[in-house]
Amino acid sequence: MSKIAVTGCGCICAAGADTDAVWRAIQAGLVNNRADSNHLFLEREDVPVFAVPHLALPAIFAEAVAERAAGGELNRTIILTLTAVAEAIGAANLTVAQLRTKRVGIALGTTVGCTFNNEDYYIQWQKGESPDPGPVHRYLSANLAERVQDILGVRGPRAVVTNACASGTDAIGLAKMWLDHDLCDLAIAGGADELSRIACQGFNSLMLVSQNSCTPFGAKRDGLNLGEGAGILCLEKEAEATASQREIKGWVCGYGAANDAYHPTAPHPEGRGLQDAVSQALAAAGLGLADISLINAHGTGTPANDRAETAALSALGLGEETTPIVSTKGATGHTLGAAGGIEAVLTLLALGSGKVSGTIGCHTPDPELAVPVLSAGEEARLSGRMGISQSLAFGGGNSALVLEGGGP
Amino acid sequence: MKAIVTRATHISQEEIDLPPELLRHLRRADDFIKLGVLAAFGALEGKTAIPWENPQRCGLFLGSSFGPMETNFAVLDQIVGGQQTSPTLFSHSVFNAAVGYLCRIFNLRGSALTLTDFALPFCQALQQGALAIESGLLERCLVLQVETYSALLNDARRKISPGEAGTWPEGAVCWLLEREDLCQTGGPVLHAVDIAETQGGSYLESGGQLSHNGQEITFNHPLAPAALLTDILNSKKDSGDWRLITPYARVDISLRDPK
Amino acid sequence: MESIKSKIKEILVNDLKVQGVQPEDISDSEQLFGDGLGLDSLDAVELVVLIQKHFDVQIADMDEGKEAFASITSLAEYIAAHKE
Repeated sequence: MSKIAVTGCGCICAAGADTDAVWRAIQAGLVNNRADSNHLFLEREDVPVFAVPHLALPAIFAEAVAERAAGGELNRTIILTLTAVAEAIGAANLTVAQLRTKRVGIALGTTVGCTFNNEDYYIQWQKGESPDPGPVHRYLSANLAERVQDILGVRGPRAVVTNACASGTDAIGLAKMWLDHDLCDLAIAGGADELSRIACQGFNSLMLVSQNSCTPFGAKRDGLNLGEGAGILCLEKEAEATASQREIKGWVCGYGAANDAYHPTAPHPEGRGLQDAVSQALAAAGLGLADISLINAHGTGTPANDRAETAALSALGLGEETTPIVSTKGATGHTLGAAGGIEAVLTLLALGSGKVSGTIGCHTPDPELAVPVLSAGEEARLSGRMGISQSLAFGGGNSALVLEGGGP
Repeated sequence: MKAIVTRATHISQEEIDLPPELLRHLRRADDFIKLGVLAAFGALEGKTAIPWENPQRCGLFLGSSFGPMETNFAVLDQIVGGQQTSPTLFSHSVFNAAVGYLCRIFNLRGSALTLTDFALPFCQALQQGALAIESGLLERCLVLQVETYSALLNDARRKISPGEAGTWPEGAVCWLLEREDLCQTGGPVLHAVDIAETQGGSYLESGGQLSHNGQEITFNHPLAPAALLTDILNSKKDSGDWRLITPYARVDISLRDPK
Repeated sequence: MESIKSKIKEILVNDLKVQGVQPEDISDSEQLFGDGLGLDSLDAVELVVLIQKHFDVQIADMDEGKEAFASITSLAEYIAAHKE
């Protein structure tokens, strides 16, 4: 299998409205969360969430969206996705017209973006009233990949991966498979999710939400903060990207996925599935752990996740004074289906720049973690250009990407 | 290397009858999960753990149009009612809850994904399953479609598309795919799955047509294409070309005799 | 105290769907998690919600919860001590 070239990245989350802004915010240690005032949490007040402050449909899609008015208004998850897609294809120097001449695969991960969650409709229906059917039509036209495919006006394979918090990573893995097997010429892959009451209430009921800013890998970590956003990669076969003289920003070299087969919500204590997923991704890339210079961890800030994740890395052979391990969720929050997409973008940026800043929020790392992590305020020079971005999910899912940074 | 379709099962909601060895596993499960697990239980010939080496290379792809919609509404119901959310309900409303159960019960430890699409989700899952085997990611995999819909959706259908035939039947379909060189029992080779999305259909009207060996069969609910393919496969175990046509997609599936 | 205990047993069977037992068959000293009734971490958080709902007693801290969740007796004692 050849390496798959990344020719464009796009990203939006609370930390910033585009890739550069997010990257700068992380380097500056910015924590742009706010107390929830939008009733996302019913009984708890002042729970921080990482919300995107300003969101608007990118101008390049305005016409296409207006032409397709039949689909009804776009939900927030789709606008987040389109924002990151616009940035990614712009960065790849591609126009929508050019995309329409190619077979374009669309692989997107999401959780909230696939559910019917219109509360007004539900309440009216429950009372036996006859609600306006608009929300049903909107739901039926809100399949994320289908809608993006339609707005871009492109043909090719499409998939919405709904594998909870690993969805974005898995979507990039699927897109790589499509390109490896010539199902498409180019792929737009990543993930997106908006903040929702269901996710906030649900994570709260599982006692996984922190009342304070999250502190991934911290000694006193007590849960995650939810967030929203989108992260998108524009992927092409290397030969094609080179032939079109497009600048290559990095590569997707390997993908692995494995299930814990252990518990509905809790990770396997030794991160069994994660070990398998990372091993598979490394094998697919023809590399060993010694070749890896950066690990972008899932690092949600829940006690169980961070413990299992570091246990898995230790079992794989990572030890003292080796590869920097970071989580970016202190800056983005846990963006669920978007996380794998956003973190693939951020991992590529770090690998391309040769340095990474420490885990925001983690001022005192948990000394009981099986491997040391890079804490807040620290910065590490990277010894090479290969890194891993990994995700864990409800349902026991684990997935990992081996990424290579481009750049000067 | 190509994938062989070793076994195929279809189970309907009325047939939910949990064998004792699954009861404990499924005490918290909703119908969406139960149907998926029972369909897989059938495809694995009543085993509760896969008998093969390398469970890390055994996985699954589950396609669904609507996911565990009724459980989603059970959570929404608590939220609009101002009640505390049940963590069990919430975790079971997440679309890949069924995949988690399937992996845990049958010890599938490889790649296991849920794919959500209104247009022929079984065919999407089948395409990914075949690709996972051809690419070496998996040696064996289950390919499923599970649909349970919801009372709200049924009411909306009656109102928006009154001419449509009755309530969609709930159920699940599961195929077992095995890499050619590992398959002991034989079966047709899954040669190709080609999906071409088209425009303009309403997903509340789920009619379409299956063409196979000169025969044309019509269908009228989202699980029907997968169920039809399963019935044909089980009645003849033969190879051939199948074409599914709906207003929103066209799929060509080619099965070949093994070498 | 006895009525709290029998209510907990009903919750275990009816809400948490513990299989193969009736409420009256469960002994007061039965371990809820691990080798006893076989509950897991998801049951633990569900039990927090159920105890709030049925007894109006809130378990905000899982470390405290862990001790209370050791057995039927310890849970009943916790509820009795925190009621009102």
